[in-house]
Amino acid sequence: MSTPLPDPSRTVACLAIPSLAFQCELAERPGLLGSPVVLSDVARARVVKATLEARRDGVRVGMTLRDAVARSPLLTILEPRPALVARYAESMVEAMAGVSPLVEESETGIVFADLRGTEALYPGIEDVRSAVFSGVSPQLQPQLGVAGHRLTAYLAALRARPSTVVHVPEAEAATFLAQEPVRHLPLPPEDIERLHLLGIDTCGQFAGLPRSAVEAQFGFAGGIAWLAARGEDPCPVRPKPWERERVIEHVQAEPPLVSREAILHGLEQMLGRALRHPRARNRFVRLVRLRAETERGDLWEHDQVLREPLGDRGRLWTLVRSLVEYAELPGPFSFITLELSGLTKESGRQQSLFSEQTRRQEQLDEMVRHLKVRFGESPVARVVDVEPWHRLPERRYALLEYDP
Amino acid sequence: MRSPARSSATSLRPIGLPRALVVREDGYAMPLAVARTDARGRRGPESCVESIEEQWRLAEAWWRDAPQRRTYYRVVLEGGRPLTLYRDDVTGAWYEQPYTESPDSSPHGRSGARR
Repeated sequence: MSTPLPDPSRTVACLAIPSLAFQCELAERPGLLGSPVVLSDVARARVVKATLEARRDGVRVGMTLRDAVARSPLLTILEPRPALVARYAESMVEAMAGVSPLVEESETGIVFADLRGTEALYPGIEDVRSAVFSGVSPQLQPQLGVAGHRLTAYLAALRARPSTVVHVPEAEAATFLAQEPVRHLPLPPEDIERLHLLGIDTCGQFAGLPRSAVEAQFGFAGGIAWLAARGEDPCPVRPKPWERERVIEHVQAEPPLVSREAILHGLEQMLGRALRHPRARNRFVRLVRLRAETERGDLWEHDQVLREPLGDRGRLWTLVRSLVEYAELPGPFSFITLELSGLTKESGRQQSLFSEQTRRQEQLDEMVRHLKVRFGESPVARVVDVEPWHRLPERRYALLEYDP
Repeated sequence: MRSPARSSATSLRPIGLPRALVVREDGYAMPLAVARTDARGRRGPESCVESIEEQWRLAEAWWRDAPQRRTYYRVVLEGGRPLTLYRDDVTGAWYEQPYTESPDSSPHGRSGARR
């Protein structure tokens, strides 16, 4: 069986959901389809996005919510929930990771994948489309673009109708891009403004200029943008494979955790479990990411890139604890995720030879592990304070499985 | 191609969860007699309430979808055995639950009537 030849016109795929925050909310509330709905900004003051029905009533983006309700009395106002958006954005990355190992999330709602080498797995563009869309809810109205270069694939995705793919063959890339506005070019906003002042509004006009003149005005970035406008964008997909190599632990709290002590107890447990996972064993961690969702859907996130990779539980715990102890938490947490990523290659660790306490602890941990295998769950638990001041007795203390 | 990411969950198990009780009430929803049920839901022998020592109400999380409204009773059963039970004012169900003052609450913080 012969291997299909690489096709230069299907090197890059771009999955786009242009207004992801809005689509997430609509996907969560399908009953709102066909009714006037707007998404407010974080300050709950202005309209960020409006459905066609709302726009028909005269609602416009940027309008205050009070004006919007005055124009459309049946208007439904949705508040942004960053935690929900982050979850859906992650599902987009996972969907693209199902097609190619080289995936880049350039911004929320825009994910690129390098398709080189996948010709045998997905011979046709339709195969790519079904593979990608099988991992994304159709209610999000995902759009897919496939082309030979990054900018072309991105604009193809923006031009695709919901749940469809636009494929731009290599020979047609320049023509396809000719009418696209210059604001999509990889140039800083002030350079885009200068282009408009010079009367250059489309990629076709920009690509028609001599490259030397563009580079003289806009430098190296101008040359890159010039190539991109001609359908020859040299910027590759920039995956971060070391970030994808990760271990994730999470805790779901019902009722939500209020006290910092309870959050720390949960995190300590999660850290132990994460470090025991075969993928993390004898490997060091480069990035620690804490993510928590509040009851209202607000997202609290903290990334800590380590100056030197750590594999020691005690040192990692010191770091994680300090992240929570000194943080300003937005409210009670209903869902907490601990992610250890950027795992290094395996490496040895020098164990202490003389510490009696360490040896005893290891023996105890080993016994509990045996008991866990025997009974299916750890028979040892520890009582942790959740909200000791709470008036409902069942909300004061909880058992946290001792899971060494 | 599968994602290399891995996820697993940990959860906290609350201590002091209420246990369902079968309670015979009077016309004012006060307990007259109580009976415990076993794990299979079989009802045990009934014990009459000799006196109600204390009664107080709790309303929690009224702003959430599932608010908690309870009326607690500290009673003495026949034979002198004490019991703390409550009536869920949302569903009307009865539960047994040991209740101690939370460490931070005032000893005079309760509202409600004594009988």
